[in-house]
Amino acid sequence: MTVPVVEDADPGAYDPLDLQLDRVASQTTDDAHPSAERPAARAWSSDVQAVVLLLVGAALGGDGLAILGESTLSLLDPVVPVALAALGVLVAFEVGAAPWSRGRILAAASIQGLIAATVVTAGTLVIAPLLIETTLASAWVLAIALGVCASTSSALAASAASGSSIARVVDMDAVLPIIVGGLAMAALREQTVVPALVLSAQMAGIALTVAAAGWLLLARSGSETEQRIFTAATLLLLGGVADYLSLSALLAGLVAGTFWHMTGGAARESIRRDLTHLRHPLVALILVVAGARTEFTPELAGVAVVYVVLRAVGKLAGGIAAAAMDRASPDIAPRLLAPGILGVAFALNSARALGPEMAIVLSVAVLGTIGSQLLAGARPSGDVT
Amino acid sequence: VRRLAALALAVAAVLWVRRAGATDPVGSAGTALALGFTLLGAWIVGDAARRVRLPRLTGYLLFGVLVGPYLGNVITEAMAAQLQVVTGIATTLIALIAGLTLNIERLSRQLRTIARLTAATLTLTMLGLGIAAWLAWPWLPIEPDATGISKLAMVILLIVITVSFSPTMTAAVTTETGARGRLSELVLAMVVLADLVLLVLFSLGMEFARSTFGPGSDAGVGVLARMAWEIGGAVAFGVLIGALFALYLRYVGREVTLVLIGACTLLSRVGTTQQFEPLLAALAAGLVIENLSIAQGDALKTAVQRGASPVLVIFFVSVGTSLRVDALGAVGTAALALAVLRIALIRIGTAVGARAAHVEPRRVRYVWTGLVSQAGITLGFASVVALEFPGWGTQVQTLLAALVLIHEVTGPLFFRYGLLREGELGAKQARPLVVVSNREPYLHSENGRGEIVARPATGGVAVALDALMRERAGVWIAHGAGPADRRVVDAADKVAVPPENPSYQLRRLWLEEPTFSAYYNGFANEGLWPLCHLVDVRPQFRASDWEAYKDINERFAAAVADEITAPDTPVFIQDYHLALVAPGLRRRRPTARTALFWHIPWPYPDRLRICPWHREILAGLLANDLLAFQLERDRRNFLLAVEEELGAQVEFESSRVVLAGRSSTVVSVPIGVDYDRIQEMAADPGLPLEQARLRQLFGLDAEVIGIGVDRLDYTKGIPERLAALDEVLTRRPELRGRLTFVQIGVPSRSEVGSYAAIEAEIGGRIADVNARHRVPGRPSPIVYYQAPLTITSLVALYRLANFCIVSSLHDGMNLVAKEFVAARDDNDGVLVLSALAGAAQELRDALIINPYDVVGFADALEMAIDMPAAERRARMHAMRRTVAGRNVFGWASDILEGLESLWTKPLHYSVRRWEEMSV
Repeated sequence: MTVPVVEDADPGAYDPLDLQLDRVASQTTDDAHPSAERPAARAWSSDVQAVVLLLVGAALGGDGLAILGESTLSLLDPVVPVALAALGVLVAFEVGAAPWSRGRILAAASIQGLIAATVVTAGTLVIAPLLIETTLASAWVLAIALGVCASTSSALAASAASGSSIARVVDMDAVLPIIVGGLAMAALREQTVVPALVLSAQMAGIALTVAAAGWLLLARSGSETEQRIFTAATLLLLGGVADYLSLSALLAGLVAGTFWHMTGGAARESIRRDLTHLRHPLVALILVVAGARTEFTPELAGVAVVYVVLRAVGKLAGGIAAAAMDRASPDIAPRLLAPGILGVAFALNSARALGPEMAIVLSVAVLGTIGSQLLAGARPSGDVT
Repeated sequence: VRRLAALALAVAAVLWVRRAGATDPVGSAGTALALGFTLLGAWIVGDAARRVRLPRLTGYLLFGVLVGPYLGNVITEAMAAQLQVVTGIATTLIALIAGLTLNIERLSRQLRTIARLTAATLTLTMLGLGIAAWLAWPWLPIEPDATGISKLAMVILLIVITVSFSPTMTAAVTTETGARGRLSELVLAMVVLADLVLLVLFSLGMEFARSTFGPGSDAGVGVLARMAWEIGGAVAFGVLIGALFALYLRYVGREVTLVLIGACTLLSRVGTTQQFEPLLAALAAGLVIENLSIAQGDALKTAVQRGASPVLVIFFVSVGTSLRVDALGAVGTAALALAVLRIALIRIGTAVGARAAHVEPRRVRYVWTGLVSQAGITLGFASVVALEFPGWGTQVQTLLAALVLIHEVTGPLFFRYGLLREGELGAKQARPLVVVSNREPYLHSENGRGEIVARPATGGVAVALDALMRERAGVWIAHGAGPADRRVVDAADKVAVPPENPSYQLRRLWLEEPTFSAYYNGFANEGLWPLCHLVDVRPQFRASDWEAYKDINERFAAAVADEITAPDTPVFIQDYHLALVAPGLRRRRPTARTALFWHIPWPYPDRLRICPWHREILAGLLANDLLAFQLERDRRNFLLAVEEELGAQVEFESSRVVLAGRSSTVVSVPIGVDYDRIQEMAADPGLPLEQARLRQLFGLDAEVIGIGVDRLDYTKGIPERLAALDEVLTRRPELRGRLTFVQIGVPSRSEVGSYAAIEAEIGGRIADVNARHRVPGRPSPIVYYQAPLTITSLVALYRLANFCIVSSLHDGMNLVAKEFVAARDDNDGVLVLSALAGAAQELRDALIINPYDVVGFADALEMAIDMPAAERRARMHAMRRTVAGRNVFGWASDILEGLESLWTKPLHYSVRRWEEMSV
C-alpha cells in the first residue's frame, strides 16, 4: 500500500476521526457527501418494510382490529396530503439530480411506464367488469387509475442491483405517472377537459407561489429551528392547497420541488435535510393509512391478482422496450417488477381527493403492491440484491 | 423585506386557493392549508414582534386575531374550527411538556407554600369579586333584575369562572420563552392546583344553579362520582400513558417525536371521549416521565425540541382566531372593569398568601403575573353554563368571551414581564455565545483557480458547536491557521461565517513562532497530553513552554474579554490547551460566565503532581463557573486533586468546589457522535458504490474483515493490537488469507519524538506480521493506510467490517467506537473495545479487552470472529440504543444549559440531571 503524503498534524486533535475529517474538509468539501445530490425518494424504506407497514395498517384498520377506525383516520387525513406533497418534492429532487442531458433515459423511463400503464389499463378494462359490478364510466376510471399506479417501480431494487443507468430509468419513471395522474384527477373532478386543465394550471401556479414564498424565507433563514418551521409550513401549504382543491398533492409537491431544485442554494438544502428527518414517519404514515383504508373482499382480491399479472406483463414488456432504447440497461426488465410505494401513494391521493368512489382503486393498489412485491421477491436470486 | 414578500405570497396563495376551490370544503380539507398558513405567517409576525421588543407569542396571538374569522377572515370559520381540532393535541403536548418540568422532589419541599398561596389567592379573589359582582349586578350585562337565590347562583358561577386560570397558557409561555426557575415552577403548580379546586367548585356551583333554576339532575353522589372520574380517571390514564412512554423510551427509543405526538393525540382523544380532563392526564404523564423514568439521554429532549416550536405557534394562533373581538364591543366596559378588579385581587391575594405561608413577599412578588391568563378552561366552563341555561348562561358566556380576550392578550405580557424581572427569562433565551478553541471552525485557503474558499471543520464536535453558533450567534475565537486566513478578516481580525449564510463572527488570533510551538507542541502535547494519559511516555515540562502557554492563554483571555457584550454572555472554552483562559478573563471581567470542557482524561492526584505547575492549572480551571469532564472517574480525580492540593472546600454530593469564596460546579458530561448524520449516510443508496470502491482500493477479498481507525498516537494501543492479531493468526493458521485487518492510521505531531517513534514501530510490526502470515495470491493480513478518509468512506468501511478494534491504552472517550456503532444500522459487526477507553463505560455490550493482556485480547478477537449472528445483533442493538441516546448536540446543549441554569434554577437540579447521565 502506498503511503500518501499527509499534511502536518492537526492542532489540538483529541479524536482521530475529528482530525481526519478536518483534513478531508480542507481538501474538498464535496467529497464529504459524494451522493448527496442523489437522494432516492423511493428508497426511503426497504420494499419489504413497505409491505409490512401496509399489512400492519390493514391489521389495525376497519377490516382488522379496528384500532385505526374512521374517527382516528379522520384525524390523520390532513397529514396525508402533506406526506404526499413531501414525496412529490423528493421525486423532483431525485429527478432533477439525474442527467437530463441524457434524454434517452427519460424516454426509456417514460416508455416503460407507459407500456405498463397501457397493459394494466386495457387489461383491467376488459377483466374488471367480469369480477366486480361496475358501470362503464367507473370501469374506465378504475382502469386508468390502476394503470397509473402500476407504472412506477421501486428505485431501491433497481439501484441495489446496479446503481447506474437502470436506477436512473426507474428514478424517472415516477414523473409521467404523477403528471398524468394529477391531470386525470382534475378531469375526474371537473368532468370536462378544459376546466380540468385550467384548474391544474391554477394549482401549479399556487404551488409555485408557495414554493417562491418558501424559497424567500429559507434562502436567508438563520437558525435551524426557523428553517424547520418554514419547511414544515411550506409543506403544509403545498399539501393543503392540493387538499383544498381536491387535486394531486404529489403533483403540487413535484412542481414546488422542481422550483426549489432549479433555484438551488440554502433553501433546497434546508428542505432536503428536513425531509430526510421526516421521510420515515411520512412514508410509514402513508403506508399504514393506505393499509387501514383497504377493503378486503374476494372480488377485490380477484382484481388485485389480475392487476399483479397485468403489471408484471406490462413491466416486462416495458423493460424490453426500455432496454432497446437505452443500451446501458440491457437487463432492466426483471428489475422493474418491485412496485415501490408511489403506486400506493397515488391511489391514496386519489382516494383522499376524489372520495369514496376511489376506494376500490386504493384497495386494489394496496393488495396489488403486496402481490407485486411477493412476485419480485420470488424471482430467481441474483436479480435483486 | 423578504419575509414580508413571502408573507404576501402566502396570503395570495391562500386567497387564490379559496377562490379556485370549493366555497365550503368538505371535512378536514382546509386543515393543512390553515396549519401551513398559520405556521408561516405567525412565525414571521412573531419575529417582527421580537424585533420591537414584544414577546413572540404576542405576535402569534395578534396574527391569529388579524387573520381569524372575526377580522381578516383569511382563515375562515371552518378553517379555524379545524385548527381547534389540532389545538386539542397541541394543548396536551404543552401540558405534557409542563409535566416534564415538574420535579416532585423539589415541589414537595414547596408544597405547603404552594397550597397556602393558592388558597389565599383563590379565597381573596373570589370573595372580592363576589362582593363586587353582587353590588354592581345591575350594571353587569346579565339578568339585571335577578334577586335572591337566583342572583346568588348566577354570581357564584360567574365568579368561579372569572377567577379560573389557564395552565395551558402558563405552560405555553414558559415553554416558548424557555424560562426556568422558581417563579415559572411555582406559578405552574399554583395554576394546576387552583384549577383543580375550581373544577370542584364549578361542579358544586352548577348543582346549586340546577336546583335553583330547574328540576335538577344527578345531585350528591352523582356529582362526586363524576368529579372523581374527571380528576381520578385523568390522573390514572396519564400515569399509565407516561409509564408506557417511559418504557418505550427505554427499550425502543426510535421515532420519539412521532410517538410523542401520538401519545398526545391519544391523551386528547381518550380524554374527550371518556369525559375526563385531557390536560390533567397529559400533565400527569409528563410528571411520570420526568420523575419515574431513568434519564434517557437526548432522545426525549430532541423530540420535544423538534415538536414544541410549531405546536406552540399553532396553539397561540388558534387561540387568537377564536378570540371574540365582537364580544369586546358589546360588553367591553363591564369586562374591562372585571378584568382590572380580578388582576388587582389576584395581586393582593398572592401578597396575603405569602404572609400566610411565611414566605418573604419579595420571593413571590411576581407570582400574580402568571395568574392573569385565561383560555380553554374558562371558555369551557362558560359554554357549559350557556348550554344548560340558554338565557342568562349565554350572557355569561359573552361577558367571559370578552374577559378571555383581554386576559389572553395581556396575560402573556404580564407573565413575561414577571419572568424577566425574576431573571428567569434568560434561562434558555438565545443569548449570543462566545466559543473559545485552539482550532477554528473554518479555514480559508486558495483553491486551484486562485479564489479564496472557506473549508469547514467537519468533525463531530466542530459541527455541533458550529450549529449552536448558527442558532445563537456570537463570536468564536480560535487560532487562525489557514493559509489565507489573514486575507479575509477585517480590522478586528474577524470574518463572518458560515460563508453561505453568515450567522456569527470568527475572530482569529495570530500565534507566532516559536511561541506557538512551545505552547502547542511543547506544553500542551509534550506536557499535559502524556501527563493525563497513563502510558509509558514521560511528560516533558519546560519553563519556557509554560511561559508560552501562559502567554497564549492570556491572549485568548484578552480576546474573550473584548468580545463579551453583556455580563451574562456564556463563554464555552474547549480543552486542555486553554486551561488558563478563565483566570485571565476573570481578572478583566470578574462576572463572566464560563464553562470549560476537558476532552481528555484527568489524572489521579499523585500523577498530577508530576507537573511543576499543577496548582496553577487546578486554580485556573476552578476560575470557570462550570467544569465538565468526560467521565465520572475524571471528575472524582479532579475533585480529589483540588481538595488535596489547594485545600479547596469540596462538596462531593453537589459537585461544588469553593475556593477563596468562589464557587465552581464540576460535572461529567460524556460526549457523543452526530448520530443522525451517520444514520443518513448509512442509509444512503450510494453507499454500496463507495463500499465497492473501498474493496477495490484495499483489496478486500477476505471473508473476515477487521478495521481500526486511529490517529498515530502512542495512547491508541496499536502495537498491542498488532500483537493480538499476530497471536490469532499464529493460533489459527486457517485464518491466513481469509482475514484482512485494515488499519487506518493518520500520522500526527510527527515532529514530537515520541510520535515519530510510534509511527516507526507500527510500520515495522505491520511489515513483520504480513511477512510471517501472508499467503501467496491472497491479500495481506494487514492493510495499512496512512491517509485520512472522508466520513462517508469511513461509514462505508465500518459497514464492511466484521469487527472493529479500539485498543486505547488510555482515552478520554474515543469516538471511533461510537461512530462504528452508529454506522451499523444493520445491527451487525462486533466492537472490540479497550476497558481503558472512556467509551467502555457506556458501551458495555462491546467485547471489552485489556490491551496489555495480549492473550486475552487475542481470545476476544477469536470470539469476535466466531460470534453467532444472534449474539452480534443483540450486542449491537444494545450499544446502538446507548449511542443514539447521547448525541454531540445534546452534549453541547447540556453544558451550556447547565452553565446558564446555575443562575436560574436550584443547583441541586442541574447537578442531579448530570449525575444521572454520568457514567
